[in-house]
Amino acid sequence: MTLPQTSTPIFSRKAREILDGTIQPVVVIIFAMIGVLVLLAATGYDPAKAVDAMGRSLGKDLGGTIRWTTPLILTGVASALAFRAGVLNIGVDGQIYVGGIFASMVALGPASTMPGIIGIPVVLGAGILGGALWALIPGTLRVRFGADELVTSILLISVARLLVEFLVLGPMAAAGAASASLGTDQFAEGLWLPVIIPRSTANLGFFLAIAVAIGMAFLFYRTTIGYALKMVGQNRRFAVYGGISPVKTFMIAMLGSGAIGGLVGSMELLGVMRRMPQGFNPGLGFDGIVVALLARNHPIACIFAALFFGMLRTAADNMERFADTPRTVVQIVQAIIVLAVSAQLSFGWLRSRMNRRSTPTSGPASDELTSRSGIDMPA
Amino acid sequence: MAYSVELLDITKRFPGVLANDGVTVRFEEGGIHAVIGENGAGKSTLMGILYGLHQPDAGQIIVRGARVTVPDPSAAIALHLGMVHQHFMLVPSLTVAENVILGNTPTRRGLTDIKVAEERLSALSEQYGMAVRPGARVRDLSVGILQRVEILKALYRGADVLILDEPTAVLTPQESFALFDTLRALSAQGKTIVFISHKLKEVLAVAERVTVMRGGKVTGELATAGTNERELARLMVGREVILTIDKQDPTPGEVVLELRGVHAIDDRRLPALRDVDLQVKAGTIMGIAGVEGNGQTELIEVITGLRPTTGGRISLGGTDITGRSPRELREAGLAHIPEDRLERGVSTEATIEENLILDTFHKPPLSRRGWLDRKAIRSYANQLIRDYEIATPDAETRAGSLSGGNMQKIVVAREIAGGPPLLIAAQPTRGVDVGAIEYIHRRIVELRDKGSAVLLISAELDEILSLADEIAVLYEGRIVSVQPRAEVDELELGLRMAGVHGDAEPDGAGAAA
Repeated sequence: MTLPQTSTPIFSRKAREILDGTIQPVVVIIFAMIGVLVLLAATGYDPAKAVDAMGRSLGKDLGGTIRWTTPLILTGVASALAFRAGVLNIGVDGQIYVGGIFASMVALGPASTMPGIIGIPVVLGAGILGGALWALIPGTLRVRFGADELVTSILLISVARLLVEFLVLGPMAAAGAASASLGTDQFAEGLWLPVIIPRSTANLGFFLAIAVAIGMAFLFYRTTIGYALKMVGQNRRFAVYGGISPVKTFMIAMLGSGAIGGLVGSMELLGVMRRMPQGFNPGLGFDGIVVALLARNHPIACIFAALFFGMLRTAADNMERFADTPRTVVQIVQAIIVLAVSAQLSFGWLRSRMNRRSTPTSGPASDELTSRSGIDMPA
Repeated sequence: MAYSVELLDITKRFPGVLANDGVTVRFEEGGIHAVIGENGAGKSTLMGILYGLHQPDAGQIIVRGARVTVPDPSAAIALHLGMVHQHFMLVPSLTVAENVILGNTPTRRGLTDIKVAEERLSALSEQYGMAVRPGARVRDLSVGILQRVEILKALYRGADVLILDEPTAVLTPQESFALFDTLRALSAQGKTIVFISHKLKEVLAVAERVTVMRGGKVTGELATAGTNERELARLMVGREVILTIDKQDPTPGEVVLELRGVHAIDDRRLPALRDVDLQVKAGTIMGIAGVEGNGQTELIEVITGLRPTTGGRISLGGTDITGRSPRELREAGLAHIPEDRLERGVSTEATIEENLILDTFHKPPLSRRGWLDRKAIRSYANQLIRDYEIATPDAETRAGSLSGGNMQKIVVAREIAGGPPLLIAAQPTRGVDVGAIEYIHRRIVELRDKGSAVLLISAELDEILSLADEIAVLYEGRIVSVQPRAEVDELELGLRMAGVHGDAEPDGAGAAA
């Protein structure tokens, strides 16, 4: 088992890896879906209608699916970037809010008179900057003072959400009648991201998201930065010993992750909301963690994982509307997937530990055989 | 002669590994019997089965002629078997006597009767010539004395058969000799001694019979009188091994590495290096001898930029490098085989290829303007795998799936490939098999012959004695002596390692008497 396999493979190594990596998530998804259908049937809902609603999200309501897939691809990639380097940026949601704030400040200010072709990139750039700056706070706290970024980045989500609330209630509140709706004025029409499926909010951002995912795949697998991030993420002491700067890689992962979060914020506003309402982010960042988990931090796999969750979210909307089924079923599906994937990861981890311990081929392991088991006296 | 213990046809399988495969060994009553083999040969598993730590899948255990089962260590103790572990199982804050009676307390009217224990202990230590004061606190004792306490503990519990797991791994040469005297005394009074080792010299010095294991099987059982190191090494490895390194006299060049008055603190913020002065010249190997924990780790880390100095200067090729980052030091020509392979030397999750390019990935030809050249990387990795005889199906195999020796070859290949002017080699052969040791030693000597300076830090005195051109002794964070190899007397070196100058008794033995 620990010996390298020498038998001739049926598939090439690459193909086998892709296959191995795909089968498990698909199995997990299938089981999650079956679980939910059984649950619906058991609680008196009609599973057939649920299946029907699911079908709708790929047919009549494809626009809805694309609309949700777009931000989920990006938040998935944002999480994958951080996780690859072992950085626990759990605060993408906060970075989305601040990206949105920066975007709307620019969109309502200097960019309001620009033509779309210039204005849109400027606004998106502002969003990216905002997200990166918000990620700089937990990043600096970690590097300077050793404060755990997991905790600080989560705490900063609430700060960002309340900041949006404050701004739309006061300084940036819409004028006149619109002010009652707790949001800013609408952005100039030229800044709206072009819709790609009529009668929906699916917009050009979808292609941008795919481009970002592909770009990130290049970064991960073809660049020195990607290599450094991976080495630090896998074994920090090894990477540092080899000359890789842990501070630099940490900041790249943290700020990169925040920048993508900021992009999501600005795209949501330009493409879907067309202004900044309060609480405009329904937890896209946390959903992105699940996407990255299912995609095992692979940017291209994030596209497919996001598509699945986008479909699910749309199906949930439709179920509530047409099948009278509560949308919480989506959360149940997500929960099952999170449990299954993390159980699988921890089993894999446990197995590799067990192997290491019981394989006398490596030095320290065979010592452990005698020193760890049996004797119960303190050393 | 009668056998006190017989292990017949023992088979033990762990998930994926056959640790013992039909092993048969017999230990003569009153004899000293060594079990040797490389890491992973199955010797620790076999002893674990005898002591009740593992249950055999097949086979018989016979103690004094009767077939027995040993479900746990307390059953082993009841059968008068005693085990001395490599890591001592003693409570530092208790006295020797208190430690010995733990779990087996003599009482009088419900109260612990420590007097009885102390008297019995004194009697035992007198009988076997092991000087130990029963009232001494364990935390005040040296490693050699602690081992005596462990042996006394086993004897106190009535052991007739003593199993010692790599007993000399933590001892200075003097302490080892004292241990051998003790073992001979025990054997002379009828105790059966079984000791596990991979050091051929000491096996030949103290044991009467030796069983050699390889890959879970017994490959030979012989009398030590009729064999030699070479034959034992061949049985252990399965092929001829060159034990002595052929090396020319050094041709020393300029000073490459220089430390002047270097101070450093350890992780507990206690002084670890005090005023260290050291020079390593091009074309020479400087060996640092010393018992582990005397500042070796800190010395390596300050030189390689992984720990800040609190005073002094370090220079490389005449340039001050104090406080430089690991990347800057590598650019300046420093390579480093770290002392802990799994913690720093390799990333077990990463592929062999990724492990091999750690220090070169950011430079042409492996990358240009931040883009990795995957073809160049693959051919570089394949070249190193060939040149350094790393046994693997391909460059994409996970490093963690290799044996310890092959993993260490990855480290050696990566660090030596660039022909660095300075190599810091820390425990370069720890936990690797005899064949790989030979190979790694040859590579280090080759590097020196090409004109590099090598600083060798090793807990294996034999390794230092056979490789180094100059030997410095590190004791409690100070360099207490530097001598050319030719002028080094092994016994004197041992005394220095124990903190004694001249011909006085080492601290440990003195405290015990």
